Amino acid sequence: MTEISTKATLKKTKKPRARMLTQGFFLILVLLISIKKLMEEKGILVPLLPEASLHAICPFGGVVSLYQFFSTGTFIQKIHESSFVLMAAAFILAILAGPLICGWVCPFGTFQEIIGKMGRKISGKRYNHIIPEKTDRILRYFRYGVLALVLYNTAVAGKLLFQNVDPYYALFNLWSDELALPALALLVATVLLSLVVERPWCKYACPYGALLGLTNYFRIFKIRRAQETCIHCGACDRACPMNIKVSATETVKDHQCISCLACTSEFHCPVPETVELRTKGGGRR
Amino acid sequence: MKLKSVTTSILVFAIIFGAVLISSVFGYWKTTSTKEPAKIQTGEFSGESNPGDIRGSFSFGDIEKSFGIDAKTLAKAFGVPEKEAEAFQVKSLETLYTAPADMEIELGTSSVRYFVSLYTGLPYEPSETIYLPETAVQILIDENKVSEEQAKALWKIAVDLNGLKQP
Repeated sequence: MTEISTKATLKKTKKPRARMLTQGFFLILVLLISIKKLMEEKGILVPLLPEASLHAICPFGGVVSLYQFFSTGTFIQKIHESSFVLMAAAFILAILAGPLICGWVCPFGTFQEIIGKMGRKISGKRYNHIIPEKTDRILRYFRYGVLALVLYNTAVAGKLLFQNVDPYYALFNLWSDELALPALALLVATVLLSLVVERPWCKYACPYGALLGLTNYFRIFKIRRAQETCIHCGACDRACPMNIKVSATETVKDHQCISCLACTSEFHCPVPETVELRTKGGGRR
Repeated sequence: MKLKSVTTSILVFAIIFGAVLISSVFGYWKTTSTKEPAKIQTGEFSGESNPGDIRGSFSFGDIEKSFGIDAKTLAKAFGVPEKEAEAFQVKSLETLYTAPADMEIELGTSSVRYFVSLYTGLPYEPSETIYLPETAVQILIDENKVSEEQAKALWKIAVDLNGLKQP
């Protein structure tokens, strides 16, 4: 064992407070915006918060509108300029450091993590390892099928058809007459699955996660593991909510990485400066 | 260069709210519809309002302003009480009329876009089968907005509003 791996140099795992606070902020913001919309539809004016629908603040709305925008110069129903702005911001973030929208912003991801905390208590060590690895690996590509289907259907129909099966939209519209039964069924399924699998919607079905996940192949800041200081303890693998084998690679390029930083030396990796989110060769002594 | 969690958090807030701020400065940050449809960009009707950009949040009054169709005509076409004509929002049609489960008929924003297009002669290419109320078809015929041939085709997609469920 190298000197660096002695008890004296190993550190305790700390809580990802910055990420939790960021996630909490966006979860509350989206919740307040959807409640405000409901109140205003009932004629009750709510000050301070912006006047917006969930569609107007969803960057994926911009993505599904691209075809119509470039072919006719108009937006898909319910989509506005704000979706394009947020889509651009999300892509900038993704090109810089991967799907930060998924790991740090998306309220539905946060919601699944909250349910997952209960699941971890119920399932114990089997939590997030319940699906056989081979099956799981194949299922992870299903979301690309969903992405293709959503893009095609939206382009053809010129409507947000995905809204009817979107559990995220259902979660924030439980009190609204826009709640669609298939979306509610998928929300219930996601909640139940979250008790045994971490972020099931993100892993297997989210079309936006599928798209942003592609940036993991070329993003500027990547999760990088220093081979020379790694003690091969597997802490990074165990910490990864997306079951990525961080210890098997020097640079994580997995399309499922959500840049949550759980595997890094700041959190679960016990050796300082060994697993980090950094540029190639950046910050290494 | 490396990113720690606090820096990453700052980056997330800076880029998201920075984008909102910059787009606001340039007047591009819009979370609601302006109630004015986009203009047609090319061709014979360049510069005219685009019926394809009528939104569910538009009222019949908004459509009157942009396309010059009397809100009361729209109300009559879609079976909406005349006193509600001005403020009636297009998206409300979807909740006003529901087809029985065995009929795949939807009267909504697309129907209004199509009616406006036929009424004004402005182009709109529907991407799906669109239905119009019989009352709307009758108005188009009575006001000589469509040819005999078009009228025949329109009767095939005409729906009797009394046959649709109203809550």
